[in-house]
Parts: sequence; C-alpha cells; structure tokens
Amino acid sequence: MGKKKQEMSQVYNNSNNEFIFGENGGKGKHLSSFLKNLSLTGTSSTSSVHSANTDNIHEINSNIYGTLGYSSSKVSSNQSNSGPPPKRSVSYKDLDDDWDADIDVSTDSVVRRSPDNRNLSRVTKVESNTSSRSSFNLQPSPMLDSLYPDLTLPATNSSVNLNSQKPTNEESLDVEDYRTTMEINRLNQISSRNNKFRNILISDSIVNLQDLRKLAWNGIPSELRALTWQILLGYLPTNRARQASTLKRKRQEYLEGLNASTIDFEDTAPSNSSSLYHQIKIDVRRTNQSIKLYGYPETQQSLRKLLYLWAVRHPASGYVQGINDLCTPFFQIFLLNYIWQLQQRVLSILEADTYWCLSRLLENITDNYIHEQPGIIRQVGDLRNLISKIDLELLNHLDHEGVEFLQFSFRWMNCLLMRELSISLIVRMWDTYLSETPLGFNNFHVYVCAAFLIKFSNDLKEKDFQEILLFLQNPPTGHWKEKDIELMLSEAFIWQSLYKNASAHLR
Amino acid sequence: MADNTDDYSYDYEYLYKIVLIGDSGVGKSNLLSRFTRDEFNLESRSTIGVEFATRTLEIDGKRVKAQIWDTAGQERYRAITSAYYRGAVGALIVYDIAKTETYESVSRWLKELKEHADANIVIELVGNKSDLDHLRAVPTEEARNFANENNLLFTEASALSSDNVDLSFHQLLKNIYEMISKHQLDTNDGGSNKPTTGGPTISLTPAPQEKRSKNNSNCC
Ligand SMILES: Nc1nc2c(ncn2[C@@H]2O[C@H](COP(=O)(O)OP(=O)(O)OP(=O)(O)O)[C@@H](O)[C@H]2O)c(=O)[nH]1
Ligand SMILES: [Mg+2]
Repeated sequence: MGKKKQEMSQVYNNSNNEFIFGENGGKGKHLSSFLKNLSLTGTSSTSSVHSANTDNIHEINSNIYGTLGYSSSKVSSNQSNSGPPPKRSVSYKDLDDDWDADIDVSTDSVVRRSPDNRNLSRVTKVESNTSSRSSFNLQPSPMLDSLYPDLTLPATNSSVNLNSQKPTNEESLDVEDYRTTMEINRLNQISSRNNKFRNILISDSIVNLQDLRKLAWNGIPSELRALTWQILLGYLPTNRARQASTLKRKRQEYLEGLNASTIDFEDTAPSNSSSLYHQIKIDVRRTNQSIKLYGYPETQQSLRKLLYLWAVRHPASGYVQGINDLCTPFFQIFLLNYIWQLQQRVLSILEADTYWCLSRLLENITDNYIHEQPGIIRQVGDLRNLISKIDLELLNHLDHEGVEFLQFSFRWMNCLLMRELSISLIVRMWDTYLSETPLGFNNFHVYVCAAFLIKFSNDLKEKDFQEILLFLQNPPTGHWKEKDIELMLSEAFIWQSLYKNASAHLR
Repeated sequence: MADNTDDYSYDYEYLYKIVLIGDSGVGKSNLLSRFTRDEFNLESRSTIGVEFATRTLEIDGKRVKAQIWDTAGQERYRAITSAYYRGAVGALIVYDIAKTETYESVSRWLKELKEHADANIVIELVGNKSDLDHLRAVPTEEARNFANENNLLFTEASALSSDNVDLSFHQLLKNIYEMISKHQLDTNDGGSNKPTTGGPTISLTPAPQEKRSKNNSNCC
C-alpha cells in the first residue's frame, strides 16, 4: 500500500490542487494524510472501515452526489499501460491503511468503478484543468451534471459476512487471532449499523425521517454524515426523486445570489470596504487557525462569500461574530464528501451546500443574533433556571461568589459550545442536535449546556469568583472523547424529558 | 512603580475593575494577553461577549489587583458588553493606528462610557499596533491632542512587540490609585477640583494637570 500511496501523491502533486495541501509540512502534503487530519472523527471507528463495507456507503453517496472519482477497492492507475489494476482482496490485516488512501484523485484520468463493484460500473470522465477564472459559472457544467446521476436503486443485498475473511487456522489461537476476532466483531457491528443507514437512505422512495433521526441521534457514520445532515436539516428533500433537482436548483440560486453582489471577494486587504464585509474579512481570517484548512485563501474566500450572502439576506441580524464558527462543521463535513474533486466549481458547490445548511440552522436561532440578542438572553435565563432544579448547591455557590450566568454562558449560546469543544466533538454533537425535533440548536442546547456545566460542578464549588470565570473561560475538555459527549447528550436528554413540560417558558 | 507578575489571588489591597473597549480587530484581546500572560497570537479568535483576566501589580508599595474585562468589539454585542461597564473604575479605549475608522470610532466609545459607566471612570486612549508605523494612518499628535481635550490618558503601544503595553496599564492603574488616595485625603474639604454631582461613590475624576504631566513624561 505504501507504494500506492506514493503513486497517488505523485498524481496529486501534479494536479493543480496543490493549494489545498500547502507548500510544506509533510503532513498536509498528501491527500490521504490531509484527509486523515481532516477526518473529524479521526480516531473514531467508522472512518477506518473500508473495502466491502464502505462500498455500500460510497454507493449511497454517489447515487446522490455522483461518482466522485472514488474507487474503493482499487487505485486506478493514472496512465494507461500499467496493466489491470490489482484486485484487492478484503483483508483486515492492513487496518491502519485507511480507505482514504484508496481515493482516486487523478484529475485527468478516466475514473472507473472496479468491475466487481456490483451494479455500479459507471464510467465518468472527470474534467481537468478547466480552471475557468470566473468562479461563478452559471452554465450547467459537466461537473455539476456529474453530481446528479440517475438515482437508481442499487441491490440491497449487502450483508457482509466478514467472518468469512477470518483465517481458518484454528490451531494457533494466539493473542493475534483473538485481536483479529475482536476487530472483526467490531467491524461487523459497524457494518450492520452502516447497513441500517443505507436502508433508510436508499431503500424507499421517501426517506423515513423519523427512522433516520432515531438512528442518527446516536451518531452518523462519517461517510454518510454529509448526506444525512442535509436531509435532517431539510436542505435535501426526503423524496429521493427530488433530491438531485433540488440540489441543482439551490446551488444555482446561491450562485445567482452571489453574482448579484458587487463585492470583490478576492479582496482581503484591510481597507475601507463596507463595515459588514470588513467584519467578515477580519473574522474569517481568525476562524480556526488550529485547523490548516481554514488558513487556505480559497477556504477563506468561500467563507467570506457565504457569510456575506447570508448577512445581506438576513438584515435583521446580519453577520454576527461567531456565525463564522457555525459554518465550519458543514464546510468540513461537506468538503470530505467532495475533496477528491476539489476544483473551482466543486468549491462553489461546497459553498452553496454550506450556505444553505447554515441558513437552515440559523433559521432556528435567529433570535440569537438580532438586536440585543434576545434568544441568548432567554437561553441564559433558562440555563440558570434549569441549574436551580438540577444542582441547587452549585447555583447557590455561583450566586454567593457573584458569578452571573451571562458572564460565562453567553459564549456557550452564541457559538453553540464551539469555543469550548473540539470540532470533532461538535460534529458528533450535531448528529444529535440535527436529529432532535425541533432541531436541538435552540432548546435542547440549553439542556446540553446544563449537563456541560454540571460536569464541572465539584470543581466549581471549590473555587472563588475569579477562579470560576477563568476556569469556565477555558474549560478542560482537551482530553474529551466522543463517549464524554454522548454521556453529556444523554444527560441532557433525560433532563429535557424531565423538565420540558414542567417549565412552560423553557419551550 | 514596581511590577510583580506573581498573582496571589488573595494577596492584594486594592481591586480595580477595568474594561477594555474599542472596535473589533484593534487588538484588545492581544493587549490583555500580553499584559497578563506575556502572550501574543497573530491569529487569535474574535471575542464573543466578554472575557476576563487579572494581574496584580505593586503601586506605591501597595498590591493592586486589576480585574480586566475584555469585550467584543462588534456593534451587535454592545447591549451585552455595556452591562459590564458598571462598577468599572478604569477603561482602555483601543484603536488601531493603521486604521482610521477605528480611531474615528473613539468618540462613539466615549459616548458609550458616558451612558453606561460610572461618571468618575478614568479613561485611557491606546493606539495599538505601533509596530505598524509604516502603515500609520493616525498621527500620534492628533490622537494625543484629542486625548488631552477629553481628559484622557494616552499611549501608543504594540501588543505584538510588547512596546508600552505594561506602561499603558500601569499608567491607568496608577492614576486610578492616585485618584482614590487623593479623594480619601480630600474627603473633608468639600471636594476635589472636579466635584461630581450625583456620583454614587467616590470621585475618581483626575486633575487634568496631573494627567497631562504624566502623559508627557511617560509616552511615545
Ligand atoms: N501588527 C500587530 N498586529 C496586532 C497587534 N495586536 C493585535 N494584532 C492583530 O490584530 C488582530 C486582531 O487582534 P485581537 O486582539 O483579536 O482584536 P480584538 O480587538 O480583541 O478583536 P474583537 O475580539 O473582535 O473585538 C489579530 O490578528 C492580532 O494578531 C499589534 O500590536 N500589532
Ligand atoms: Mg478580542
């Protein structure tokens, strides 16, 4: 595999996508490692699943998004005469060699599905080097079209029996074998979970939202996250027949909206641009420097565009600092879906999708960002009220020290805890938020904040005013794992069911 | 004025609440992190709402603790941030010497303080990013004159190079300290040079003379 990776990175470096991976720093240079960095669920189980199991997932995505030059059971070599691609047998020996490495990133080659790939032997010509200067291309382009394939229903027989892969040497049941067995069991579990998603997402002509929510509440496999989020947010219709056309229309609409604006989005210089655009400019630069992606000029330009468009279309709130944080989960998750084709036009698709989903999200919390931010004030009050029911001792201590809830929880509401938790944890949290009805960004979030605060209850009770504020400004969540988040979400869920109806104003 | 970076939480004789205000992006958060932790971050994230930090210094042999509230610069947060002005005895209004608009906003920030802060608050005007002298858009003298006319302390500083950062805070704290001591001496002779009407607590209004001389000796 090492060889393949090398090959691939060569292909990649020859392409004009160099910008994504930066000039130096071996880490960010190759697609696979970039994806790994970007893969938000990094260590989480699902992203390392590959082969047969992920084929299903890729199928689902490609049914909606098109074949994205994505071949999961082989690397199609860049140029012709390298013989038939080596057929890769399913083997869990090389688990650390994750599926990212198998992405075909060649921009100028014919991308094929491997022939053994059930009914999806689609052949797609991916255009290359058509880097049109204009970033707004309103002509329906081949690229756009390739993202709306026919939505045929693939065979559903995908139960994968991973046990058959197990070495049959029964005699030497050593630690190694035991590990393998465990690994296989784990993969089987993931596989069955993925199949459940798959069934909901593509087996009926209408996606059953309730089932999807139920399943997604507990986390979404990273490969299906983009699709699932878009459906949960109502950006993508549940009626599968309408999905492709809706996407097409929405993306077009977004581009037209941008076209109507007179802003020069390439302009990054500090200048006397409108105060709105100026604010967006200085914030986008500061969005999240710990993630390399947000340092690239192309990313920053996309964020400027979509934030600007949203702001002018929502004058009651306009752009409010922190909204730039809110678009990053979408941007990253959707980027993961498209990365292998990342070119100008795909970038605008990515922008459009981020734009629409951000709009959907913000619709739920408009009150947070309008004048005087009444939504946040209400949430802060609700939080206090909740704590008085759940942990009166803590509340009394905070009161005694003169700590006001506004002083520490304003930011929790304004940025949905994005400043307190790493992006990978936020993404997991959003799986659940998006599966709540109504969406969890408003009311459910307050319960989550309560669970978050109470996590530190014992620490806080030992501290004085200053220590409390300093602590909560920088809460020790660096070592948190998904399971910590899941525990917090469960607590929030319980409190919501306990107190939702008890206090009318929490609704 | 001796400096003491160690911050023993309980070991102080005076506690002064200070607010840090000014347009978004002028470098408030970095001035604060430079002063309290000697840190600078070229890509710091924007402040949401209000953030808090402290540092204890020694002034005239007394340990004075500055409790500083760093506010978000964006207009939308004004309603939230102005709630923090109450009880503050000092304020730093920060602008960016390389960006005229941020300097032009200073009078709006002054007005904010008039509306929401205690009448006696000691105010210092700080022109940040003095390291960007080649991009300078606001002449030092113009800002200094404005400060004098409005009874404000004044410095130019750079959070990046640390130039004058400590000095700006020291100058403000020392003035607050002196106002308060002076007031305590003056309490019996019917008020200081600027009696405040209806000020709820003690008068902190500095004597203009004294302030000006401070300016001349200390800065830029
Ligand atoms: N050259 C230079 N840049 C500075 C200086 N101080 C801050 N900056 C930069 O200016 C930008 C904004 O700094 P912040 O400290 O975040 O600004 P702020 O006033 O707190 O902004 P808000 O939180 O949005 O109100 C950052 O990129 C800093 O690195 C300075 O003294 N010199
Ligand atoms: Mg700040």
